[in-house]
Amino acid sequence: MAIHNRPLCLLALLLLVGALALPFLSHAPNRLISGQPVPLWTLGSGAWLVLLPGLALLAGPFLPQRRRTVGLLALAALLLLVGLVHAAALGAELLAQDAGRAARTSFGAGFWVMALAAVLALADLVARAGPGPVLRLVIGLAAALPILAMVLSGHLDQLSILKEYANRADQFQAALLRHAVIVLAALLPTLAFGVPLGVLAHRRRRLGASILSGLNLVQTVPSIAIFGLLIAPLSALATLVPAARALGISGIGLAPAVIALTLYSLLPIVRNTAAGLAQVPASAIDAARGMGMTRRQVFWKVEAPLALPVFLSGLRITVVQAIGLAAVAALIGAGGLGAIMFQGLFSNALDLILLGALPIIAFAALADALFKAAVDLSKRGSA
Amino acid sequence: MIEFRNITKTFNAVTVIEGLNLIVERGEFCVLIGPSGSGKSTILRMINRLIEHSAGEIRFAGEPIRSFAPEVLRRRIGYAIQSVGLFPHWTVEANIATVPRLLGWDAARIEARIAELMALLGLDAARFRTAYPHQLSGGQQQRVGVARALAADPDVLLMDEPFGALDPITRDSLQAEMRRIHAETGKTIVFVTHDMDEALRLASRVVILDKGRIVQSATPRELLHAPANDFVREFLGKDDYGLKLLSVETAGAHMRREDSGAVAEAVREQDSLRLALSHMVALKTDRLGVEDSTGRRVGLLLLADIVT
Repeated sequence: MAIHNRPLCLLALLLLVGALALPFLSHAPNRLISGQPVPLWTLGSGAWLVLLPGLALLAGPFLPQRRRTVGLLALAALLLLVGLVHAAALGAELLAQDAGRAARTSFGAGFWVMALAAVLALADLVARAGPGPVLRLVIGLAAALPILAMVLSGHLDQLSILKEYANRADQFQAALLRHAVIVLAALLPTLAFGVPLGVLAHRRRRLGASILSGLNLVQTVPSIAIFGLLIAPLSALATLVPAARALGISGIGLAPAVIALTLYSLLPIVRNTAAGLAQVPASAIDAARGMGMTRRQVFWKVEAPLALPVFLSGLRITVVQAIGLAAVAALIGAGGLGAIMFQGLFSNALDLILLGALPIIAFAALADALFKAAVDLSKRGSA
Repeated sequence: MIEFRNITKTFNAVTVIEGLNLIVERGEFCVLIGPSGSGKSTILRMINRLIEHSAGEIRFAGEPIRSFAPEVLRRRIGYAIQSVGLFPHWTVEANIATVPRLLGWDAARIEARIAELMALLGLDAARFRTAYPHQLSGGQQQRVGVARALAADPDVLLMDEPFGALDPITRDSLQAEMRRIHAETGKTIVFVTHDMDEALRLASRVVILDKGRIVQSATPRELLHAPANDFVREFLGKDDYGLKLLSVETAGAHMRREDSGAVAEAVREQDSLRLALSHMVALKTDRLGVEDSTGRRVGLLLLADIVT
């Protein structure tokens, strides 16, 4: 039997281990006691059936990887991922029947391993099939929407992560909003300063080199350290200048978070703006000038559109990075989903950590997918 | 049409053009040729102010070029370069329409002009109009580049080694197109090359440059029959000098007005003697018929007439 897809073969092995050797769920009478492992086979046929697409993935590595086969296998991986969540919900409902209200059912190692294998298999198979930017977004939505629907319909309510959510719905929603505010508030100054700096770095090569090495240096400082370093000057500013305090600037909270995030976000924006402009063919600029475009027309009609794909991939890195870094900003009182995550960390509540972390991952993945599609669309005509 | 009066150009205190005087008359096909570093591209790019001259005066259509805003001047002068420089994010038609759009032509006039130019350059409009540059071959790209340079019906066309990067067959056919376009439109063309065969084939006047100075300015025939000095002779080449001589003579000028009905093969009146000789050698014959552009026999060409 020839193996036609080695990565998928490894992932199939991972699936087998996850299904047979590791506990699918973990169940405890209350959140203070550590859970007992619940293997997959104890959950009844309802939970088993939804995992049938996994069998297709086990066979997948041995099939010739034709486009149609790969497409069907990708569909199987997608169904398996959605099925795993559904199975966990069914299992949690089953376990809830003969347990008290305080009982907690969490995802076990088996669930995580299989979910990881399904996501990686999906990514591998989609990359092999090579769909266009729009179809790729549709595939992403096809995986995300059913899971979101299960969350919203209450199907997952017996899982402990949603029990944690039920206890903190208001706090969660406020944190979600705050997280978005931190990221957007950092993005505005990043674009306002980063794009002109990138254009400057492109036009004045020597100055550009020093700008970029300065920003590179910032990037090497750990985020926690930057947050810490900003506390002293900002509190001094707030004490000395009443107007600054009136604007809400202080040593902790939103102000240092936005400043630190901006400092980190500048590098990819400046670098990619400059790199995007640098790869515009010199001949196109020469022709544009020679035919009588003004400097402004050369920039807006030729340089800017041709630099756009590289600029957008810089923006993609910036946004994804900012969504992640904003979590750390919770440590200096900026709030956001990171606050929930750290609350979970400090009280040793795994499900609370997940309640903070999973939405951050989901948002980063969403931003990544959207910007990837935008990059591809902006490349049309200049392949 | 274009007049250089005592032009000097220095880059960082290095003089690359010194005391240049040159007049390009309306309707001339003026080819600037010289080794690299001779200043030929610099001279070309000074005309549309992509490079500013250091001293002297350049006149365009009777006016000093500095009396025009650079953009206004450039929109009146077509510009085609070796690297073509098509805008990769624009379709063929948008590329061709660049200058008409800058000049604010209305849509119907632009449409008509695109169709006209694509026909002139032998580009199939149905196939290429909405294609992007990367979907075109090198030769097709340069055809679009020339169409774009001609789009706003400029008084003058500047071409900087436009066919230098093309394969010999494509270059040949584009050279033929340029001769035809020059004959049909009567444009003033200033053309830079380092290929002597190309210069002899296209030029109504060849300007040979060396180290920023004009060595000789003459018609291709004058140049071949009376090279000014050893530099020119060397540039004309030794091995195929005879063939170059033949390349500037036409069959029509050397044929006998005799009946050639008995000879099967024929060349055209405007074909060069070089081509006629090549045919004779290939066909192992010492005579060819000569026909006019309609295909009617008008004379007979003998090998002896080519050589003498």
